Amino acid sequence: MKNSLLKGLMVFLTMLCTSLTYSQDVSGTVSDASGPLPGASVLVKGTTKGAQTDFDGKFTIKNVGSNAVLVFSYIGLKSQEVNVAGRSNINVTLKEDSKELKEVIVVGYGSVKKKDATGAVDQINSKKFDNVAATSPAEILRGKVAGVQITSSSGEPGASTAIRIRGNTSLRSGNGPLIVVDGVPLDGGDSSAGGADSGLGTSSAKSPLNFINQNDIESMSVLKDASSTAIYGSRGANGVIMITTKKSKSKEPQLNLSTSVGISTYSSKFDIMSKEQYLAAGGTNKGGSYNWKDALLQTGVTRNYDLSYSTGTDNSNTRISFGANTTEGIVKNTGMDKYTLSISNSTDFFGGVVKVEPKILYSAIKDKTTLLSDKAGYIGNAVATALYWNPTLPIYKTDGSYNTIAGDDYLNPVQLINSYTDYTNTSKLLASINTTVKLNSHLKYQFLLAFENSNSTRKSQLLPSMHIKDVAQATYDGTVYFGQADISNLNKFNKTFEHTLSYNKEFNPNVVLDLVAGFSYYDYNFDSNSMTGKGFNPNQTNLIDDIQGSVGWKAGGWGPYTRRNETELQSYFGRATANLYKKFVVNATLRRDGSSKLGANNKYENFYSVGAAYKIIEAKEGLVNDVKVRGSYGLTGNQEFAPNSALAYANYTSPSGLGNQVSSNPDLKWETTLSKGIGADFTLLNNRLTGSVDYFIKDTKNLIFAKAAESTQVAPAALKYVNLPGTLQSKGFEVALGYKIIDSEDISWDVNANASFLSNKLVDFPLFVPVAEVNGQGLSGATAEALSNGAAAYSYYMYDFKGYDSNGASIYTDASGNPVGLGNAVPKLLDKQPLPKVNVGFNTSFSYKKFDAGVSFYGGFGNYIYNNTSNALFFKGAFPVRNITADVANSVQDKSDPNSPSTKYLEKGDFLRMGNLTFGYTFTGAILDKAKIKSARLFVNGQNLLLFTKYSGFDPEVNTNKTFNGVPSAGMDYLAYPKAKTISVGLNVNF
Amino acid sequence: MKKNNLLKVFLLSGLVFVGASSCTNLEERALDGTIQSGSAGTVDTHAFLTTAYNGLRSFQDQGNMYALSEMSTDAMVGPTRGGDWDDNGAWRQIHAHTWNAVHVHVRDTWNILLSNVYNCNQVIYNNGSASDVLQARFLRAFYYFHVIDFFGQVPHREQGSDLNADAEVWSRADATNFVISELEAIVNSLPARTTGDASIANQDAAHFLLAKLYLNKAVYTAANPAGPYTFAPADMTKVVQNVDAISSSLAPSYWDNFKPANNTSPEILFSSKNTRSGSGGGIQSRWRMCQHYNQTPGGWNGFSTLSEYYDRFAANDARKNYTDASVVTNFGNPAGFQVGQQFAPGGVTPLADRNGNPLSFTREVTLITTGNAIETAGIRAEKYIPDAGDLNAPENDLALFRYSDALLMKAEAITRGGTGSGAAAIMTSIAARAGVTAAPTTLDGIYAERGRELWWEGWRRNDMIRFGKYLEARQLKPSVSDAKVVLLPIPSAALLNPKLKQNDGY
Repeated sequence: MKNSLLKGLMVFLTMLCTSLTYSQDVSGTVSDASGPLPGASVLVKGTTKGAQTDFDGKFTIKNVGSNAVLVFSYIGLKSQEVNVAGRSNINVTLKEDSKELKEVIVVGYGSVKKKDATGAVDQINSKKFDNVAATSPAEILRGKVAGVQITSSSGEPGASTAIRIRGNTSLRSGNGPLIVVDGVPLDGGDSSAGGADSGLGTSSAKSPLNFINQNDIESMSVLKDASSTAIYGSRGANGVIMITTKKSKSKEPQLNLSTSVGISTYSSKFDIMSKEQYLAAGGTNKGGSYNWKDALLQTGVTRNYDLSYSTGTDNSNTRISFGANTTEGIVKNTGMDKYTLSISNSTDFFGGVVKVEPKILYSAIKDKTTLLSDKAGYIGNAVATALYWNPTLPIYKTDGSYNTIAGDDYLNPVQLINSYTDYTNTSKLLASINTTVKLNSHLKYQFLLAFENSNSTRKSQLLPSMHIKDVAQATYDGTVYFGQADISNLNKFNKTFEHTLSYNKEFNPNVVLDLVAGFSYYDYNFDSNSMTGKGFNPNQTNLIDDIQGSVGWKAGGWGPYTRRNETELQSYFGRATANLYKKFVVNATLRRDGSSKLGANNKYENFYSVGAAYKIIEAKEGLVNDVKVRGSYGLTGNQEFAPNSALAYANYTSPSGLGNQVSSNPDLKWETTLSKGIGADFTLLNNRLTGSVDYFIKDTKNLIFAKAAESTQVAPAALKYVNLPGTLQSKGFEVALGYKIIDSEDISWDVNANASFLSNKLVDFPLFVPVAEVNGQGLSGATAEALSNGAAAYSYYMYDFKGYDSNGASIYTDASGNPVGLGNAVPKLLDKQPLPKVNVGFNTSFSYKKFDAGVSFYGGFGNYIYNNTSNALFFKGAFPVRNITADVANSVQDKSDPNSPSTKYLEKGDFLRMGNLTFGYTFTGAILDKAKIKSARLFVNGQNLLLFTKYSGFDPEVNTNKTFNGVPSAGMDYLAYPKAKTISVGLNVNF
Repeated sequence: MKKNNLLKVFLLSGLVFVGASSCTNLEERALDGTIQSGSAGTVDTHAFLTTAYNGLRSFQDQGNMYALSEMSTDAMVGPTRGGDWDDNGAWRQIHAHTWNAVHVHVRDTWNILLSNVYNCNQVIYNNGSASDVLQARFLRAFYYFHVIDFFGQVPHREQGSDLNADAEVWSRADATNFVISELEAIVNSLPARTTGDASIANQDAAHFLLAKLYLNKAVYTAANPAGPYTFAPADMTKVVQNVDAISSSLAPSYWDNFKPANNTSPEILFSSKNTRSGSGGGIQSRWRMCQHYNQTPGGWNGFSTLSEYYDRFAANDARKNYTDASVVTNFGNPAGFQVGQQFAPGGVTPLADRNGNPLSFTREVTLITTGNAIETAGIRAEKYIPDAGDLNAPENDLALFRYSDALLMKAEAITRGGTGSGAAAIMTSIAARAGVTAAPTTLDGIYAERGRELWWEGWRRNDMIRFGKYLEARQLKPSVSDAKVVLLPIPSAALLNPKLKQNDGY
């Protein structure tokens, strides 16, 4: 008792002395490279006394000892310690923090310092991509993050993009990560209307990420393991991408204008025969000439305009941006125009107790395309038509009309392109308001309300002057009318309500606790309709806007179609993180999710994770600076499957019957992924080398799968959704390294590289399911891949081609591997699969004074591509009526040898591509000052300038949508839009 | 401080309010369809009956039941023609009897037949109207008959069966007995056949189906599905009685049964109905599947018959060709079998194939066509007369049951020991209409006459098995088939129901 009294007295005396002898007020301004820095923290070292800078970057702290040390810090910037040394005014400029581990990463319902992260998380900040003219949000991530693979379905502007984080976790469609934009989880579906199958094959919807202007993105963080994604429970199994948009950073009004113009050209090589080669191979000379590139391709011009300004007051700040982008594709009549608007505001009320952040992202996109269907049968694709047209046959007759060949299945490519119109208008609004209430200094309540509304209309038409046999026609009163128009609409209206309470308290420096608890409710509404009209007056040229002219009304060539569904999700979640002794971080997450989509008996499931990290070495000087090891274990889920899968569902079909019947399955439950991971983050070599390594195992169970109708007969004809026994097991290893080669005042040069190694296997899988439809004439019912127990998912399954016999007939193998002809051939499950086993990314950036340069490469290895294009078009029997590749023309194949799907068309998909090359120069100085310009940067950017591959198709980065019975495919190439190379010049001005 | 507390209370109560208002029981609603389950609501039994009727259109397609019934016999072949019609070997495998348990047509046939049994069950088990239930019971018997014929084992679900449980399975004999008893229970309650529309379940159709079942009962109850078969005289007598109970007559012309307005033929006992430019199935396959691309109507240049089969017709057999002038004017060539040079509409201008060779169909064909005959190999046929009014959505109904078949069944039953008379008269009347000499009233004679009278009508497999000819070597199937092929394999995924066992040999 006496002792403690004494202690108390001494402390009191010390404080008194300090204040009496040396106390003074200190004020000043904190700024960073771009100006005053609001919200920076200033702390008197060793005390809890401190202040935050206001909107002008200013701060004042009263009663600071004259020998005190002030610590200035700001997220993402290097902290600085300054000795007061009797001064009353201290101005500080904070520099960028070079150490990745200090980075703050946006995670679900909060943020975490990279050095404290227990999970595998990565973040790309705008600093890393602002200087590069990325064409889409997904493009930004490509090759930059270990374990993230981005595959465009084709080279078409805005083409749908498959994003895979740590490979596939599901056998169905629905392997894409959850996308969270400023805290709002988006639903996983398409926003744009896909093309209806009206006899010419289907076409895919465009990438749902297109609606975001990449220039509005501040950061994208990638949550890869259960420790980080379990907070999203049933939607976390495929990983999560958190997109944070830009906000105003200063009170001073800032205006930014950027513009660029680019030229896109065809970049591939294709071995289709020239006129001379065609004739030399014995082709039929029709007396003229034709070049497929002239018929199909064009030089595309891309224009970008972005204008943004930001401003603020003491309590409020606002950023507004407009973007306009027009992209012409390299295939005629294709392109995308995109207009975006983003408004964000943040305002404090009641002296900072309540903060309101409204936000609006709006986009209007016009997509134009030509007849490019994913599943064209014997006819119906502009690329195919252009490739196989006889190179000696002129497009036009001497009278100027189109040349045609008897038999309507051999189409004039120019006539087809000119007769077909197809465009999609998609508008999307994402509006949210986030209200934060500081209940006390430790407890915060947040309410997020968001609406996502998208409307998409696709209209396409084929003129009546273009005749395609059996397609696009209707017979009325004995007369055949041609032409077809399709209109489809897709509307989505989604609501998000989220309540979260977060609590953060440092009990003492050795125990810091961070708690989050919340409730969320999502309501996703989908509404679509389409109509098809066939058979029009031969003189009608505008079909889509005057569709009622279709004789189909009277003649059965009229197809209306409507769809609507709603999915509700309701969840309770919580997370606790403890930071102990500044060494050990442990967290636990729980989320209870319920969904209307599941069977009546299994609406809810609990998801969870635990993660731990231990900092073995922290902030040491020398060769080893930081080392942290971490591990995580958790259960996440996947809910990307069709609504109404658990009900005894049926639609009425004309005339007055019932179709699309689903067997009810009241036991349908979540698909769950148990993941285990260990990793390490480190900084070495005097803070020059940063990196991380990760190893993980994921086991997906209760695989939701559309079981074939035959297994449940006597039953409805439609597929039945069940949870299959068996496990999809994936394993992977990831490594990411960054090295600062030079980091001086004038020169900086750094390199970043990452690689991921992935494999997967089906274990105890009860079915053998052929997937990946092969399309083309004579290929009905053919597939190229299979899901089979013990094999990698989507392993190739086909005849094993062994060469030609003396008659030019293909030799395949029988069940025991002996060479046999087609009649006795047996398909073989191959140890080859379509997903790259190794993905690599490499990028480097260099700057010298005002000059900067950057280059990035990425590649995939160890995968195979099925060349459905060659399979469907290039075989001896097609020649000489159709043009083929020189390889096939010169082969010994006989004209009668069928083009059965086989390893003949299976090719290695290894590639390395130079994705981006940029040179820039930043102007500053007197002339700019006169024009009130703070800075201006001129840049030249090249995309896709180099590609190393042996693949014979247009491009090895391909993923034609061959979804078959709800099971996706991978690695299929069918008439995919060729990838362009683009060179652009741009200017970026800050006022 | 007070003010702050008040604010907190206000905000927290707001939180509770918003939280409560968004709670939901997560019940899923059918927004663009209807929940059809006896346990969870009402079942639109009449719509299910319509669906079961529409299911008959599956027989209009060139694949599945039709291809398995005709292409697996001596009557039809689906050759691979260069890049066309390989279709993963599906057609060649059918003719060569080398199908397996994942064959796409085997799988689809199983699903089409049994899903339609389910549609019928929905009517029967959920209090459909008396008339609807009768029709549904007939249709279910029709679909079951084909399951018995193709697969042997028959899965079935009784009233109240949980769709998530495995279906029960009948043996071939048990299923046959069930279907016979079912048909006998309803035959007299069914309506009489409507003149001009045989697409509705009727007494004549039920008698026909009973005759088929009794005639094949020896096959369906044999210890070994491949035979030998012992035809019981009592069963044969039942065949005779059922045929005698049919109220019908032969149409004056054979081709009345296949012309666009064939609903007027008195001879069609049961059909799948099509309406010109309106609702219907894919009966256009009956001309398009064979016709060359450059012919009118344009076709898919696929299937052929075999010269061995074609040569069984006498030169003057009226069933070979329909030579009416209007057909030549509209399409250039007679309907029926087509061999030799083909012509453009009008019948004067000779056609060429896509390689520029004369479009002249050869008599001979191979499983994989070669040389100059890639496109032209093989004798083609149009069993139905194309409807010039709408070639895509024609008026022709598909004849499922025909009276001339019933008469030949009667003749066969008498010959196999059934009680009855008039077998020879039947043979005479059938031959007379075709303008040929009657075949002898023997099993061989009847078998031969069935091959001609019912060519490409979907009965050849059934006939060949019953007459013991199915496994024999023939023109493009050089060796005797394994006995297992008289039954199709159970589709591999169906074996997830452990009560089904794979058929012997597969």
